[in-house]
Amino acid sequence: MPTRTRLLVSFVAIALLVLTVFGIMAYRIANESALLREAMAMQATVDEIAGQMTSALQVLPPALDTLRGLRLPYLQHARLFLVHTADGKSVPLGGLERDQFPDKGKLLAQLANTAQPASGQLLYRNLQYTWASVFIPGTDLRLTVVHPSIDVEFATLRSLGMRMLITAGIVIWIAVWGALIITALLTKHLNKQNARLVHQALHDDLTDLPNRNLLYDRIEQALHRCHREGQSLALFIMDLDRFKEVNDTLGHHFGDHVLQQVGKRISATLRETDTVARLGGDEFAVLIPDAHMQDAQSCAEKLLATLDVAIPINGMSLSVKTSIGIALYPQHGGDAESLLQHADVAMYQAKRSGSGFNIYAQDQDPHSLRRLTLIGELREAIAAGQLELHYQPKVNLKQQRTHDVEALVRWQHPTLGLILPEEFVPLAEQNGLIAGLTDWVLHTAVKQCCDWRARGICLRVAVNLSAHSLHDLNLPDYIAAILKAADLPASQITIELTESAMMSDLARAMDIFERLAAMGIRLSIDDFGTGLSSLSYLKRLPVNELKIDKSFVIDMAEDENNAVIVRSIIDLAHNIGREVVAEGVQDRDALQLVEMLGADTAQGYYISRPRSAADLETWLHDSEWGLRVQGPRGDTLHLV
Amino acid sequence: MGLRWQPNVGRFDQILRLGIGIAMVWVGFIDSEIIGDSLMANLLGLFGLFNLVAAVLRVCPFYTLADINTNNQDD
Repeated sequence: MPTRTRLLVSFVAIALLVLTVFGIMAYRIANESALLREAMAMQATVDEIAGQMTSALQVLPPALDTLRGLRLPYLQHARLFLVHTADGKSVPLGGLERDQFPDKGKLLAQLANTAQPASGQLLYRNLQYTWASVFIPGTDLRLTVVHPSIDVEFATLRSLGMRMLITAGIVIWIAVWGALIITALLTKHLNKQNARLVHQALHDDLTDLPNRNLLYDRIEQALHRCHREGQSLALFIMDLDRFKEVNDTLGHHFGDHVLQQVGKRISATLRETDTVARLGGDEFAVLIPDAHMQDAQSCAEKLLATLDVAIPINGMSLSVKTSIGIALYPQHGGDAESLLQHADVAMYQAKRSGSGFNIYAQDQDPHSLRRLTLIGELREAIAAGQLELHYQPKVNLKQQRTHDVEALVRWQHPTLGLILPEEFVPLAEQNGLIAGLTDWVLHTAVKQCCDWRARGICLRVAVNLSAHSLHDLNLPDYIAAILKAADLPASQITIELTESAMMSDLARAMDIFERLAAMGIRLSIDDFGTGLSSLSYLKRLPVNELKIDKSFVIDMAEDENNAVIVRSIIDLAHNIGREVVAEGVQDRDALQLVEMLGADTAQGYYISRPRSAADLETWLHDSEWGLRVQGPRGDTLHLV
Repeated sequence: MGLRWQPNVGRFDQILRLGIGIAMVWVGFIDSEIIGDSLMANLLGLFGLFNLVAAVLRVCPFYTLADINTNNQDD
């Protein structure tokens, strides 16, 4: 039942209840007073009759018979009249129903004795009677007369009923009105309250700008319109740079003030039709309908210019830098979720580069669909055998032989084709899959090494470790266990770690390297020259070789500086007793040059690209750097 | 809430008020013997008068107060 009806019914019910109670009360009071009046009137009449009787008694001999013989007009209509003597006897003298009141006489005598003069009502055989009792003056006799009561009830009802009816009408009318007015007022109040709550739920308390929920809604609406009318839209996500410092140094009160000012400025810069929202913290969003790339850019520039003006606070002026990320519909997403996410990505890119604003570009996005897909599938790929190891030969330049190969992981994706480790290894690192990947690589490499050994191919296999592997202090024990299970001498395995990975946690790298070296495993620092090694540590690290980063080697022929660096690294390494591997040897000149500069080992596409195990075996068989030994007569003997 | 003196009594409402108003004024002021009580009769008469005025002006102050409008619904 709606509130209005419920209130109406209850008001009318209360009105009716009150009317009924008051009606009954009024009726009873009116009734009683009418009866009382009748009794009093009767008493007066009887009093008069008693007076007449006295005069009759004075004339006649005083006897009850005399009284009985009196024909007084009033008494002739009485139902009963009787005389009580002084000794308590009641003698009915006359009346229409004299014989029907045998007991009532006594009752009346008792009543009459209690007070004098007396009157009242009595009920006999469902009929109401009024009686009055008075002394007959000059005698010790008392006269009581009983008369049927007049129909008080009907009279009362007649006089009261109409008034009650009218009152009821008016009261109910008022009740209905009252209920209607109260419901209307309540509804009004509730609507106002509701509007306030809705506003509160959809707006930010501090700046009174729309919040994330409302922004979502507005984006959805704008997208519907765009979809219908083929328009585009721009979504900005703005973040104040180093806002936390403002809060921390000046206090939250000032921080809030800054946010309010920023909110006001953004709103003032934009059109009425644009939506400015505060997403929380120091993050704002702007929705610009019907905006293309150029509009978005000019808008962003305008916003940056406005926000660049220092905010005056407490006598000082505070300058806040802002980073804006822009996502456009339809280029960067078709729904609110993806637009917001992409604008967020662009914003972080802008923050990192300090460029002020940045328009979303998919290749910068760490969360692009391809990457998310890869993350989801990498775990299964390891189990499903989609990964494989390829091996790239490392040629010993003095002997012109291949003694080492570097194992490189490849992901043969069923739909996306070959995926290189540069793409999926960082994903594995970021998503906790690196331990599983390292595990698989170690096992596969060791197994392959054993397999070759069993067939007389003696190759050392180098395995790359990720910086994340350093977190696992059990790694040396784990590697030892794998080697033991495969019955492979530790010297057959080389562990490579990039210089930057090593420098990220030098102490831990030292610890792990020392334990690995103690086991007899060869250690190698990969991409050397790019990670800003501490030379003092380099001296103490138990590494066997340094691999010069390919960026130096590739440009060596053209760039003299690179040649100098390569030479210096080689000299340095040799001086502290380390071997040198030159990576990225892509042509004959480079090979000759690194050989001339004294590198111990060379690796690169000129020698061989990474090959599958079977392919490598063929290469070893055919290549001039393969596993051959010179026979005594100049022919070649293959170890294969 | 401001009191706006715009018509808020609809056609049906107006006729109803006219009927009730005339009856009440009749019973209250003109043929008050029916009631037999002067206070009641006057009260009823006033009530009727009020409704009569509201019906003629098509404005009910209580409706204005409560934001009720029977005018739109009838039109």
